[in-house]
Amino acid sequence: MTVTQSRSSNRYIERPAPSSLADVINTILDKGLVIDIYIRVSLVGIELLTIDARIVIASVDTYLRFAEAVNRLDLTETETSGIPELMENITSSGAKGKTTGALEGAKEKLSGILPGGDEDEEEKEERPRRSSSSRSGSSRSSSSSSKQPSRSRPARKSSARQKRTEEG
Amino acid sequence: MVVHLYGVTTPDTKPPPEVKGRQDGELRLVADDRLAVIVSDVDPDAPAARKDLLAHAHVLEAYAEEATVIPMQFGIALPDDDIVREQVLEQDPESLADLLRSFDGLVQLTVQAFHHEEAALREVLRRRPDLVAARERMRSFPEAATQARQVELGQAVAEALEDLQEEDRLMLLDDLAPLTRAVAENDTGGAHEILHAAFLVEREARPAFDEAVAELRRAHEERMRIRYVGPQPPYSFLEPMRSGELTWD
Repeated sequence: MTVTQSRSSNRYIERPAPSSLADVINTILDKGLVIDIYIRVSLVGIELLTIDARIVIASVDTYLRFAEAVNRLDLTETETSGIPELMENITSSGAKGKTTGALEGAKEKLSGILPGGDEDEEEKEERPRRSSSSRSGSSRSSSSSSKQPSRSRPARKSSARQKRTEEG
Repeated sequence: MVVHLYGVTTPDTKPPPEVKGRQDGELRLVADDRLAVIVSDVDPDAPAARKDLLAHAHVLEAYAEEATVIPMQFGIALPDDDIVREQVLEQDPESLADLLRSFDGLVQLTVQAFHHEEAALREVLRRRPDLVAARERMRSFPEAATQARQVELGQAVAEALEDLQEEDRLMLLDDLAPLTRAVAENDTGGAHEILHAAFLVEREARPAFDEAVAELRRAHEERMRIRYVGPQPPYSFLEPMRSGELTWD
């Protein structure tokens, strides 16, 4: 559970967070009043960020990545997710607790080594999981792993990338 | 020095404490008896970067806590206060006053939701035994797992994920929209983005909306991550309001 308490006021139970750079790009760059004559402030380094902001589920690469992700998904990992009719084929059920624990551990570590980023003035919004698209400018290859950094595993990512270059 | 414009508010608006403008400038109002422009002095030769964009947004958000604010687009500066009066306050005061009246007591709150890939895939497999079967076949007969077959499986998975996204999008909107005056949805673009929507919320309804977001986070944290941003000035509702698409009273 992420509770954001960013500003001084504590009137609310769970307050919204201030805008991140991605929010800003979605809002103030193309929404808001304009006036007829004004001095345009020159912007530097912003274009880069907008380019990779949106990725659509539509490419062969993406499909292959999903196929691979589904293939690697171990249905024993959590209690709730197992498909009943498959459960009998599944080997050890005693290791469930451990598996989950290990997975959590991996996630924690991973969040520390993910691209640190050059955005010095990021808002402190949600603990390790960084908001997606504010970072998408710097991570151009794997969109979805940048969306959910805490869920992706290095092994899978690198093998997916390798595959892509071989085929591409 | 030139004058950077943030937005338009009413002249009785107090500056939020401890908030600075671009380049750490002091915020002030250029006002007449009906309207006020939030401005700060900036060095025109320093190019604007990320921190300037964020400063612009955060100034407006700080004002939006208590006041009604019509945001200006980023990047508008004028030579001095007199020209601000001439170009903004005296240009079309009626429509600015109308906008301030229309948005009186309303703030924008933005909600963005993303599936956790693994949890979403699990849910897809739970619902679609046929996809599990296809996966099992490929595992058992690696020679059958040609690239074409894998693409086929991946495509089916992607479609099932999109169905799940749509279902979850509607679920989130059903819970949140009734608490608000209006909703403006952005296109969702990322592979796992479920919802990206701006809600126009009455100030008094904010605690209820906060609580609704918190409740959705609690209920669905396994499967999705919810970003909650605001309060913002009504960026997403400005054009609909000006064009007459959005009306009330």
